Amino acid sequence: MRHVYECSVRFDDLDAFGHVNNVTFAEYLQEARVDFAHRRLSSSDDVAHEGSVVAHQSIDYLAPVPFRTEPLQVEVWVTRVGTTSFEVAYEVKDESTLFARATGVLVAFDVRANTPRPVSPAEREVLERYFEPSS
Amino acid sequence: MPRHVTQVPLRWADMDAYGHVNNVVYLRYLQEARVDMLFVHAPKQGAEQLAEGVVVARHEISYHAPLHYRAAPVRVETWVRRVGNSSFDLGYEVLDDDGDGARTVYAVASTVLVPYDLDDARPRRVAHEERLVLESFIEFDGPEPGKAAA
Repeated sequence: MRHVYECSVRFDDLDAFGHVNNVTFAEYLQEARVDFAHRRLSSSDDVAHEGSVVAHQSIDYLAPVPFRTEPLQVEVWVTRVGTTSFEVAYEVKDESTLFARATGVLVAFDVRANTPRPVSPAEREVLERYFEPSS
Repeated sequence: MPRHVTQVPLRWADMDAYGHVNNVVYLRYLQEARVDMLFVHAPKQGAEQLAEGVVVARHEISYHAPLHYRAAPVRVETWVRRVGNSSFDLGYEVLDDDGDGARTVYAVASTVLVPYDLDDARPRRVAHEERLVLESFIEFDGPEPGKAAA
Protein backbone atom coordinates (compact mmCIF):
# COMPACT_ATOMS: atom_id res chain seq x y z
CA MET A 1 0.00 0.00 0.00
CA ARG A 2 1.23 3.49 -0.84
CA HIS A 3 0.34 6.79 0.80
CA VAL A 4 -0.64 9.33 -1.86
CA TYR A 5 -0.13 13.04 -1.30
CA GLU A 6 -1.63 15.58 -3.73
CA CYS A 7 1.03 18.23 -4.18
CA SER A 8 0.32 21.64 -5.67
CA VAL A 9 2.97 23.36 -7.76
CA ARG A 10 3.48 27.01 -6.86
CA PHE A 11 4.57 29.60 -9.36
CA ASP A 12 7.76 30.32 -7.45
CA ASP A 13 8.74 26.61 -7.43
CA LEU A 14 10.02 27.27 -10.95
CA ASP A 15 13.54 28.57 -11.43
CA ALA A 16 15.11 30.63 -14.24
CA PHE A 17 15.22 27.51 -16.43
CA GLY A 18 11.40 27.50 -16.38
CA HIS A 19 10.99 24.20 -14.55
CA VAL A 20 10.54 23.17 -10.94
CA ASN A 21 13.91 23.57 -9.24
CA ASN A 22 15.70 20.42 -8.06
CA VAL A 23 15.63 21.56 -4.42
CA THR A 24 11.85 21.98 -4.56
CA PHE A 25 11.42 18.28 -5.34
CA ALA A 26 12.93 17.59 -1.91
CA GLU A 27 10.27 19.89 -0.45
CA TYR A 28 7.57 17.89 -2.23
CA LEU A 29 9.02 14.67 -0.77
CA GLN A 30 9.05 16.28 2.65
CA GLU A 31 5.42 17.39 2.37
CA ALA A 32 4.40 13.86 1.36
CA ARG A 33 6.46 12.27 4.15
CA VAL A 34 5.14 14.65 6.80
CA ASP A 35 1.58 14.10 5.58
CA PHE A 36 2.14 10.34 5.86
CA ALA A 37 3.72 10.65 9.31
CA HIS A 38 1.05 12.94 10.74
CA ARG A 39 -1.93 11.12 9.27
CA ARG A 40 -0.72 7.54 9.68
CA LEU A 41 2.04 7.38 12.28
CA SER A 42 0.64 9.86 14.79
CA SER A 43 -1.76 8.64 17.46
CA SER A 44 -4.35 11.30 16.59
CA ASP A 45 -4.94 13.96 13.96
CA ASP A 46 -4.32 16.72 16.47
CA VAL A 47 -0.97 15.46 17.69
CA ALA A 48 2.17 16.00 15.63
CA HIS A 49 4.28 12.94 14.92
CA GLU A 50 7.49 13.20 16.92
CA GLY A 51 9.59 12.43 15.37
CA SER A 52 12.15 11.29 12.91
CA VAL A 53 15.10 12.88 11.16
CA VAL A 54 16.43 12.33 7.65
CA ALA A 55 19.79 10.53 7.62
CA HIS A 56 20.14 9.88 3.90
CA GLN A 57 18.28 10.79 0.75
CA SER A 58 18.61 10.10 -2.97
CA ILE A 59 16.57 11.64 -5.77
CA ASP A 60 16.60 10.65 -9.44
CA TYR A 61 15.18 13.35 -11.68
CA LEU A 62 13.53 11.74 -14.70
CA ALA A 63 11.52 14.51 -16.35
CA PRO A 64 11.21 18.28 -15.86
CA VAL A 65 8.04 19.71 -14.31
CA PRO A 66 6.88 22.93 -16.03
CA PHE A 67 4.26 25.12 -14.38
CA ARG A 68 0.91 23.39 -13.99
CA THR A 69 -2.34 24.02 -12.19
CA GLU A 70 -3.17 20.35 -11.61
CA PRO A 71 -1.45 18.90 -8.52
CA LEU A 72 1.24 16.24 -8.72
CA GLN A 73 0.86 12.93 -6.93
CA VAL A 74 3.66 12.04 -4.54
CA GLU A 75 3.49 8.39 -3.49
CA VAL A 76 5.34 7.26 -0.36
CA TRP A 77 5.85 3.73 0.87
CA VAL A 78 8.14 1.82 3.21
CA THR A 79 11.02 -0.37 2.02
CA ARG A 80 12.66 -1.35 5.35
CA VAL A 81 11.84 -1.21 9.05
CA GLY A 82 14.85 -1.46 11.38
CA THR A 83 15.22 -1.09 15.14
CA THR A 84 15.85 2.67 15.21
CA SER A 85 15.37 3.60 11.57
CA PHE A 86 13.25 2.90 8.53
CA GLU A 87 13.52 3.51 4.81
CA VAL A 88 10.99 4.97 2.44
CA ALA A 89 10.68 5.29 -1.33
CA TYR A 90 8.82 7.91 -3.30
CA GLU A 91 7.53 8.58 -6.80
CA VAL A 92 6.56 12.04 -8.04
CA LYS A 93 4.15 11.59 -10.93
CA ASP A 94 0.91 12.39 -12.67
CA GLU A 95 -1.34 10.17 -14.78
CA SER A 96 1.08 10.05 -17.72
CA THR A 97 4.58 10.88 -16.47
CA LEU A 98 6.97 9.74 -13.75
CA PHE A 99 8.97 12.87 -12.85
CA ALA A 100 11.21 11.59 -10.05
CA ARG A 101 12.04 8.58 -7.93
CA ALA A 102 13.56 8.95 -4.50
CA THR A 103 14.58 7.11 -1.35
CA GLY A 104 15.06 8.20 2.25
CA VAL A 105 16.56 6.74 5.41
CA LEU A 106 14.74 8.07 8.48
CA VAL A 107 15.98 7.73 12.03
CA ALA A 108 13.36 7.60 14.77
CA PHE A 109 14.24 10.51 17.02
CA ASP A 110 13.28 11.76 20.45
CA VAL A 111 13.17 15.48 19.77
CA ARG A 112 13.06 16.53 23.44
CA ALA A 113 15.89 14.25 24.55
CA ASN A 114 17.74 14.98 21.27
CA THR A 115 18.63 11.34 20.75
CA PRO A 116 17.69 8.43 18.47
CA ARG A 117 15.03 6.12 19.87
CA PRO A 118 13.61 2.71 18.93
CA VAL A 119 10.79 2.49 16.39
CA SER A 120 7.72 1.92 18.61
CA PRO A 121 5.51 -1.19 18.16
CA ALA A 122 2.60 1.01 17.01
CA GLU A 123 4.78 2.73 14.42
CA ARG A 124 6.16 -0.62 13.25
CA GLU A 125 2.66 -1.94 12.69
CA VAL A 126 1.75 1.06 10.51
CA LEU A 127 5.06 1.03 8.64
CA GLU A 128 4.67 -2.66 7.84
CA ARG A 129 1.24 -1.99 6.33
CA TYR A 130 2.93 0.36 3.86
CA PHE A 131 5.78 -2.04 3.17
CA GLU A 132 6.69 -2.84 -0.41
CA PRO A 133 10.05 -4.47 -1.16
CA SER A 134 12.44 -2.15 -3.05
CA SER A 135 12.75 -3.06 -6.70
CA MET B 1 43.49 19.03 -6.95
CA PRO B 2 41.93 21.94 -5.06
CA ARG B 3 38.29 21.97 -4.07
CA HIS B 4 36.04 24.90 -4.83
CA VAL B 5 35.15 26.64 -1.55
CA THR B 6 31.93 28.59 -1.01
CA GLN B 7 30.98 30.27 2.26
CA VAL B 8 27.21 29.95 2.48
CA PRO B 9 25.34 32.19 4.95
CA LEU B 10 22.61 30.60 7.06
CA ARG B 11 19.23 32.21 7.51
CA TRP B 12 17.33 31.92 10.76
CA ALA B 13 14.32 30.52 8.89
CA ASP B 14 16.49 27.66 7.54
CA MET B 15 15.66 25.92 10.83
CA ASP B 16 12.47 23.89 11.14
CA ALA B 17 10.29 23.05 14.14
CA TYR B 18 12.99 20.66 15.38
CA GLY B 19 15.29 23.67 15.85
CA HIS B 20 17.88 22.53 13.33
CA VAL B 21 18.48 23.32 9.67
CA ASN B 22 15.89 21.38 7.65
CA ASN B 23 17.13 18.59 5.37
CA VAL B 24 15.80 20.31 2.24
CA VAL B 25 17.83 23.45 3.00
CA TYR B 26 21.09 21.48 2.73
CA LEU B 27 20.25 20.91 -0.94
CA ARG B 28 19.83 24.66 -1.25
CA TYR B 29 23.31 25.17 0.24
CA LEU B 30 24.67 22.66 -2.30
CA GLN B 31 22.92 24.60 -5.05
CA GLU B 32 24.48 27.87 -3.88
CA ALA B 33 27.93 26.24 -3.95
CA ARG B 34 27.29 24.59 -7.34
CA VAL B 35 26.05 27.82 -8.91
CA ASP B 36 29.06 29.68 -7.52
CA MET B 37 31.38 27.06 -9.00
CA LEU B 38 29.70 26.42 -12.37
CA PHE B 39 27.94 29.69 -13.16
CA VAL B 40 30.38 32.19 -11.61
CA HIS B 41 33.83 30.60 -11.39
CA ALA B 42 33.84 28.24 -14.42
CA PRO B 43 32.83 30.90 -17.00
CA LYS B 44 35.80 33.02 -15.89
CA GLN B 45 38.02 30.03 -16.76
CA GLY B 46 36.50 29.74 -20.24
CA ALA B 47 33.57 27.36 -19.66
CA GLU B 48 30.90 29.92 -20.44
CA GLN B 49 28.15 27.59 -21.61
CA LEU B 50 27.64 25.89 -18.24
CA ALA B 51 25.73 28.93 -17.00
CA GLU B 52 23.37 28.59 -20.00
CA GLY B 53 21.99 25.27 -18.87
CA VAL B 54 22.89 22.38 -16.60
CA VAL B 55 20.22 20.18 -15.09
CA VAL B 56 20.38 17.93 -12.04
CA ALA B 57 19.84 14.25 -12.88
CA ARG B 58 20.46 12.83 -9.41
CA HIS B 59 21.26 13.87 -5.85
CA GLU B 60 22.47 11.69 -3.03
CA ILE B 61 23.12 13.13 0.42
CA SER B 62 23.91 11.78 3.87
CA TYR B 63 23.33 13.93 6.92
CA HIS B 64 26.00 13.55 9.59
CA ALA B 65 25.36 16.26 12.21
CA PRO B 66 22.65 18.86 12.85
CA LEU B 67 23.32 22.49 11.97
CA HIS B 68 21.89 25.34 14.02
CA TYR B 69 21.52 28.97 13.04
CA ARG B 70 24.58 31.13 13.61
CA ALA B 71 25.87 34.37 12.13
CA ALA B 72 28.94 32.72 10.60
CA PRO B 73 28.53 31.09 7.18
CA VAL B 74 29.03 27.37 6.68
CA ARG B 75 31.76 26.13 4.35
CA VAL B 76 30.74 24.05 1.33
CA GLU B 77 33.61 22.34 -0.47
CA THR B 78 32.82 21.15 -3.99
CA TRP B 79 34.87 18.95 -6.27
CA VAL B 80 34.42 16.89 -9.45
CA ARG B 81 34.12 13.12 -9.04
CA ARG B 82 33.79 12.18 -12.73
CA VAL B 83 33.57 13.82 -16.16
CA GLY B 84 31.70 11.76 -18.79
CA ASN B 85 30.71 12.57 -22.36
CA SER B 86 27.31 14.03 -21.56
CA SER B 87 27.28 14.26 -17.77
CA PHE B 88 29.56 14.88 -14.80
CA ASP B 89 29.42 14.22 -11.07
CA LEU B 90 30.13 16.66 -8.26
CA GLY B 91 31.06 15.79 -4.69
CA TYR B 92 30.38 18.09 -1.74
CA GLU B 93 31.09 18.38 1.95
CA VAL B 94 29.19 20.83 4.15
CA LEU B 95 31.53 21.53 7.06
CA ASP B 96 33.19 23.80 9.57
CA ASP B 97 36.95 24.09 9.44
CA ASP B 98 37.84 24.02 13.14
CA GLY B 99 41.54 24.76 12.53
CA ASP B 100 44.61 22.52 12.87
CA GLY B 101 43.09 20.11 10.35
CA ALA B 102 40.02 19.45 12.53
CA ARG B 103 36.68 19.56 10.70
CA THR B 104 33.04 19.12 11.66
CA VAL B 105 31.27 17.53 8.69
CA TYR B 106 27.50 18.15 8.57
CA ALA B 107 26.75 16.44 5.26
CA VAL B 108 28.36 14.61 2.34
CA ALA B 109 26.69 14.63 -1.07
CA SER B 110 26.92 13.78 -4.77
CA THR B 111 25.15 15.23 -7.77
CA VAL B 112 24.95 13.97 -11.36
CA LEU B 113 24.68 16.95 -13.73
CA VAL B 114 23.75 17.01 -17.40
CA PRO B 115 24.71 19.94 -19.65
CA TYR B 116 21.47 20.91 -21.30
CA ASP B 117 20.52 22.95 -24.34
CA LEU B 118 17.47 24.82 -23.09
CA ASP B 119 16.50 26.16 -26.52
CA ASP B 120 16.43 22.67 -28.05
CA ALA B 121 15.25 21.09 -24.79
CA ARG B 122 17.78 18.29 -24.95
CA PRO B 123 21.04 17.18 -23.33
CA ARG B 124 24.30 18.09 -25.01
CA ARG B 125 27.87 16.81 -24.77
CA VAL B 126 30.42 18.22 -22.33
CA ALA B 127 32.44 20.76 -24.35
CA HIS B 128 36.24 20.61 -24.44
CA GLU B 129 36.68 23.88 -22.47
CA GLU B 130 34.20 22.64 -19.88
CA ARG B 131 36.10 19.38 -19.49
CA LEU B 132 39.35 21.29 -18.87
CA VAL B 133 37.77 23.42 -16.16
CA LEU B 134 35.98 20.47 -14.54
CA GLU B 135 39.12 18.33 -14.59
CA SER B 136 40.97 21.02 -12.65
CA PHE B 137 38.70 20.07 -9.71
CA ILE B 138 38.89 16.29 -10.07
CA GLU B 139 39.14 14.17 -6.92
CA PHE B 140 38.55 10.46 -7.43
CA ASP B 141 38.74 9.28 -3.82
CA GLY B 142 36.64 11.94 -2.08
CA PRO B 143 34.14 10.89 0.61
CA GLU B 144 30.84 9.38 -0.56
CA PRO B 145 27.40 9.84 1.00
CA GLY B 146 27.04 6.64 3.07
CA LYS B 147 23.83 4.97 4.13
CA ALA B 148 24.61 3.27 7.47
CA ALA B 149 21.58 3.04 9.77
CA ALA B 150 20.32 0.47 12.27
